[in-house]
Amino acid sequence: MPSPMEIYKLLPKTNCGECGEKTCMSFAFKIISREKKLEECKPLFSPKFEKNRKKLEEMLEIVKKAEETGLVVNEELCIGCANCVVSCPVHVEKDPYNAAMGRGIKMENPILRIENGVVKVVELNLCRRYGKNRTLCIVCRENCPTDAISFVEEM
Amino acid sequence: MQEIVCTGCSCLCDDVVYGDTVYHACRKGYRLLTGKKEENSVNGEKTDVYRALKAARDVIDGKKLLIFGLDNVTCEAQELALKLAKDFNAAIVDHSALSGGKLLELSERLDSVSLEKFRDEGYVSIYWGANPHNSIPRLLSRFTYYPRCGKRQRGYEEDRFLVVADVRKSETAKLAEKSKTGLFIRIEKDDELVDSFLKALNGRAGKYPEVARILKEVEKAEVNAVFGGSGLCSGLKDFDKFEDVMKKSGLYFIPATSKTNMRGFLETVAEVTGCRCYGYDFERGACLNLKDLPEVFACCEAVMVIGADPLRTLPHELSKRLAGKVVVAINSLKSLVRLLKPKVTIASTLSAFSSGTMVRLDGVKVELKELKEMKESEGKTLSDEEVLKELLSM
Repeated sequence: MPSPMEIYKLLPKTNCGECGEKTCMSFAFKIISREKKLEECKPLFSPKFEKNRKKLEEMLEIVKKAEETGLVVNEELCIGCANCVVSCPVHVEKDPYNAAMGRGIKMENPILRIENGVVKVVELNLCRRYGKNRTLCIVCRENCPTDAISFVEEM
Repeated sequence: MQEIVCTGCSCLCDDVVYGDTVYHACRKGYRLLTGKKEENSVNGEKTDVYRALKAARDVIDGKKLLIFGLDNVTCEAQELALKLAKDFNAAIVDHSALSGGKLLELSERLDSVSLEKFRDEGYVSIYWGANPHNSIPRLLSRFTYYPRCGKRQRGYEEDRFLVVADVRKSETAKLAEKSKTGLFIRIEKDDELVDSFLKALNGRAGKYPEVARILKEVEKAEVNAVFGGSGLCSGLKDFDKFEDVMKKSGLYFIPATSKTNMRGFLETVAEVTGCRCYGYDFERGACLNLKDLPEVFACCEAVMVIGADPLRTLPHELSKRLAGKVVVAINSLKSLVRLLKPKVTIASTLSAFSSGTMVRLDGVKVELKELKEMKESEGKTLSDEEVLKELLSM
């Protein structure tokens, strides 16, 4: 995952304000939180910055994969241990006799479920990070032993 | 879609749903359940199971036989394999002499507790030389750390205490280090940690000061356990001192061995032969230990591999002795055994899809759930038990 500083280093660093942000640093932060898009930085699309733009596009591939809550699951790292499924506070509340007790989750549309050996995002609307009253819950990420789960705004 | 018992490791998860999609199985279990299936063959040519069985019987008749594997098959199949070994005066061994056997032996001498009881009441879990995230991936989420039930309703943040003692920072160690209710002790020598425990029990400080905190936490609950892994088994020199610590601290011991039914094999061997050992040579009427294996592997004329991949799991020092032997393989999945150019290969049903019993790492017998509707791609095969029954009846 790229950090805002890594993004900033590749931006024109002119603080021109064409993107609507006061500084390039602030633009870098907003790129990662997906409030801004690379296309909004017009100087970046001039031939002078072509190399940097290509590098940035490569770097930001992973951000595109992020779900609405900022959740990114790297299936290649996941071993299907189900720590995230069992520790999720929403699952504990909604499936107290299965997921909360360590058994395979039985609620119809859980947030996360282990399918074919790896974790899959099934229903994101239930996540505590989603919607108006969202909280910055990071339980699933904190309990992932292989760092297969991450959130984009932490980058 | 059917609920089955996953035989990917010794956790024997009984909540796995098998169908076009496999639910709740970890990566290890999924790979086993969907692995490429073995085919019946004689001299490398495909054939039907009955011809393969006849050829297998012809191959082993009159030869000095070694039966190897058996950690991934049911207790019933293990019993039949022992009967076959007895009838043929053969030697029979699994992987227990190489790793895990010592831990299972320890668990018989020490107080142990079932995983269900630990899930409901357990507080401190100490992973000593064990990294379940590699060997038993769902152990923490199913039983030991994350579940909220019984007396442990408040979850891992308050109701569990995780300790990892290891020579390296494993995945489980990372979790322990991150957690507010966890500890990671990077050890150099296992015996030094044992000494620290003994000293702390006597109110003195040892090399690892964290031990005092662990013992304080242990006092908070009745059920606390050490999950001993292969690291403990190979690193510890003085097992008597370790037993002393376990008894004085009131900790339970659960062996964290990953081989699916190794515990079942050792119990079956003990039942049939009356000896607590890692294998048995019926020709000599003697128990087999680690030091006997090179000779046993070198002296046999034919090897029957049952539910195992010796080229992947054995050290080269042993596996190289299989070169040039007549091999009969009874396996469910394709494996490196093919490199030994087996004379006969018999494809059997994966134990997760057949009936029978296996013994979980904590010693609890688990009944397998036979898969009612085999997918067409699975083909119709005999179970390990049926294959061995046929071989015995010929």
